[in-house]
Amino acid sequence: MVDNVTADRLFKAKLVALIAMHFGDKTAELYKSVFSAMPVDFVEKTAEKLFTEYLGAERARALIFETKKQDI
Amino acid sequence: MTWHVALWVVYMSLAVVTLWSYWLAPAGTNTDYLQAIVYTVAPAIAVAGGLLTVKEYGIRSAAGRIFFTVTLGLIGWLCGEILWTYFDLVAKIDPFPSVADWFYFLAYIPLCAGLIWQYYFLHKTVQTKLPYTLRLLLTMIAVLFSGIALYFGVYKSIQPDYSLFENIVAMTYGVADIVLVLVGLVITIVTIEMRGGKFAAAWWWFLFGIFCTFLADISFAMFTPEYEGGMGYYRQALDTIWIIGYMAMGYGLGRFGWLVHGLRTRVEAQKFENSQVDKTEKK
Repeated sequence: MVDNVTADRLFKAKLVALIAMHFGDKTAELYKSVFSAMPVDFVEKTAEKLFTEYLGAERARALIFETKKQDI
Repeated sequence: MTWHVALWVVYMSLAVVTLWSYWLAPAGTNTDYLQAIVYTVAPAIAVAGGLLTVKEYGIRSAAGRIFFTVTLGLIGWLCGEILWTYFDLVAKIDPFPSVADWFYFLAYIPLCAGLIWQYYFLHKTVQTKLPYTLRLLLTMIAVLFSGIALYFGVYKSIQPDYSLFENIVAMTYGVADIVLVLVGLVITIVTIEMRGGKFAAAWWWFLFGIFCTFLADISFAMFTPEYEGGMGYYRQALDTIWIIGYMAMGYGLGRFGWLVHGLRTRVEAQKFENSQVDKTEKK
């Protein structure tokens, strides 16, 4: 198990990687800097809103769920 | 002027020139050249749309590589169109069969690979599968279109006065159209499974472009003598449908880049606004 700070950081990194996959590296870099200053709950909501807007609500929920589900 | 505005200006200009050169201008050599230019600029715009999206995504991202692969297919079609036009109009050689056909055929490989890659890329996160009735309906439509392509594109394309090689090339176009139907089915599934989202609209545009290409290809197979003999409005109509197809594919592909560019601009503006608020609060 890892501590909460590391877990939050890993969760954010995984979301940034997902953004890179679906929106490209430049967008991911931008979100990386935005997420760094945000609390993890807010990061999750922001990412879900982004995925919902561009990839559809169902896929957004699935992507967030899969990211959370992965063992850290 | 941003690149997507520039792309719109080019699109509108091409639409006006297409309308003029194919439907309104008096017949003549100049009109033939103008039509040839329009006909090669259309796939060039489709390629430009794809390349601009690849630039926005970056080639290292999975989506960027997928769009690059699809764009490679469009580059193949562009090369085919340029060579076909060159043989037909400049070199005055019958372009069928020629090296242009190879470019048309080879283009299907990256095009299909890219779209199937896109299907697997998005399909793995699908939670709710398409309803059985919808899957059945899509399969029936695909079978119907494949049947049409098989009959008109393969069976009816066989000409007794053609050589064996010419007949094989002609039939391959029919087979390629069946591939086009299957690719169209893949994009339809991906798009419906998205169940909303701004990227879905871009895929619908691309699908519309594929459908126009299929429609024009099959109509060409059905009315080849009328098209080649310049009878009625067959040539104008079919070339216009092909051009619309290329433009729709280019718009669909370019729209992805446009959307991602717009997203980044919005986030950057928000980031700047937040930093200004922070500065004010510190003061």
